Amino acid sequence: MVKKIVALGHSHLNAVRDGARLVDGFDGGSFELEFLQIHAIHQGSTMKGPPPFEMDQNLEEAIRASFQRCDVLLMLAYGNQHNRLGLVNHPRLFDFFLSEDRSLLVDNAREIIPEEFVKSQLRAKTAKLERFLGKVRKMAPEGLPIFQVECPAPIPSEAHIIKYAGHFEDKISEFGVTPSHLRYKLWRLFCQLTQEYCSANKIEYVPLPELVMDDSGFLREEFWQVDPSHGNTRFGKVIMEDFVYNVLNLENAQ
Amino acid sequence: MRSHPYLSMPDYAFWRRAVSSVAPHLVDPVISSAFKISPEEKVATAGSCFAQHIARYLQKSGYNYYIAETAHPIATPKTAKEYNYSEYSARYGNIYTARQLRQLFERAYGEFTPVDDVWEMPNGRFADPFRTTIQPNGFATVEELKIDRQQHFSAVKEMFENLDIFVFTLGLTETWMSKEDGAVFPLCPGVDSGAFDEKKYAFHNLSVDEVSSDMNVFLERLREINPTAKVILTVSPVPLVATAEDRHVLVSTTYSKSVLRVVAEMLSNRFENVVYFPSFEIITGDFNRGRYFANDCRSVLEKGVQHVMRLFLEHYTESDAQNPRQKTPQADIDHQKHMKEMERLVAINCAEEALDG
Repeated sequence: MVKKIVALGHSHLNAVRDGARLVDGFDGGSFELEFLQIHAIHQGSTMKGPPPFEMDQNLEEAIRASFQRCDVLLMLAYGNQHNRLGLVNHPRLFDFFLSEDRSLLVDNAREIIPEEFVKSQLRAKTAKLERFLGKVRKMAPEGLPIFQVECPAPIPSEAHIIKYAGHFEDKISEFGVTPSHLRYKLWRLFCQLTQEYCSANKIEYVPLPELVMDDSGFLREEFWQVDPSHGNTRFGKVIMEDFVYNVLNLENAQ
Repeated sequence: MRSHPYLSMPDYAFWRRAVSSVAPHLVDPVISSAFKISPEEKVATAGSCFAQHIARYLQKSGYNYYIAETAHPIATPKTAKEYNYSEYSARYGNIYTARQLRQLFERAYGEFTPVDDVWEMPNGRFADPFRTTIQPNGFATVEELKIDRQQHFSAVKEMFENLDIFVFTLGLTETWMSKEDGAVFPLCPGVDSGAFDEKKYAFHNLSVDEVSSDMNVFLERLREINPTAKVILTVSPVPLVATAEDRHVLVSTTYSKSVLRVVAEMLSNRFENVVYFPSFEIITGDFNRGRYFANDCRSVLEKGVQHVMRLFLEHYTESDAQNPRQKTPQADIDHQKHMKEMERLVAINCAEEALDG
């Protein structure tokens, strides 16, 4: 039986949308996909203002409608809050010990702050994500499986980030790119929080497949988008393959 | 005609005129002030728990309350408070005894390195024996603790060297110390962290001579590194929560406060730059019939603190500078600006990525 998957998300959804087309069994083989790109829904509406990082009526209606033709909801909601905090160096340089892995590098030349400081700021920055996940769970029909995929691991290359800095160019030239070891720790903390929110809302959290990460946990080069923080189409393909064949355990009908 | 010295004494020298006939909330034992604090002068605080009230009011009043060890602005205000930043001018927690203050100074300047370096907590994390309560749940690793301690010492040195006024509240004479090197701890080992071992630790109740000697050493050293620093001493009116002497806690409280009050008097007489502020008398004086203490006869109520701080601000600050506007620290402004810009840039970047293709 063909599984109908609705994929909902912000910017990280794009890689999956493009990558899914390259996955065996796409579109009628093992699964059918429908994409709800939150930014696009907003752009198509008459609403003014910044992208809808929060639920609005237009988006709510689109999500509700999609539930009628959906066996599984796959989400890539939000996923860049850690970059707000640490893609570019903070004016007051800091580092911290990550309790999840105490062996990770800490730069003693920076101000060492408690992990909870970073967590508290990330919590404040992710309040919208928490509300969003709660709202989706509440709107969804009883028993609908909902998954949230982990956002891409950081790109280790400072050169790549500088090359494709885009709008961050001025900020980067003023403060510099945050060292990769610190961006990695910020990403891990953000993932921990997302996982907590998912668990509280009965949403299954899907960690990244090992294939997309190098030995140090960073995003492997072949999966870098030509920007500082997103995954590319190849990344999206691996995510989708992992989701349908490893998480959902669908059989490849083709 | 009779003649004697009392005839020419001012009203404040007479109990009836200065105490019994005055409404309790208007009793004012501060007869003069040796100096006035200007809004620009940096005021640092340390001491026992009553000093927290002084720090709180100074911050609220908009004077230049000097915080040498600030929380990184990434911390939300609630978290920074939980981690005891801005409670005092540096993150040393309560300093109950004169010996503790002297040893803090000596440790910060590398003149004393206690044998007790790190205490392991039951949760597997680590506590600083000399600041056991500043880090909720302790430090993740010994390395983190040691780095934080170095940062702390840098801030302590910066504070002592740059402060204009140092308000220190003497709290206790009873202390627990290392038998090996005489290091004193804010709390008895084993109470909050660490493990009590009578072979390693001993109780000690400081005498007038010892408190006086510790404070003399501290004040001389402060004068060496910061010759213009002024010091305001207060004695905490908060009774002992417990005594380790084999006697009633009330008796121990009287001993402890008496020693501290006597030493404060000696120091203010000896040092030109040291004054005594009578917060102890305002809170414990029987003119207020105990109304400044809570039902436990120990916790100081807000109205008592208000009385103390009203007089402190009235006598020790420039009257035309009352409630000057509180300035937002530059670091906070930079942080807010940076975070706002990063929010905007990430939102634009994500929107472009989302709408691409």
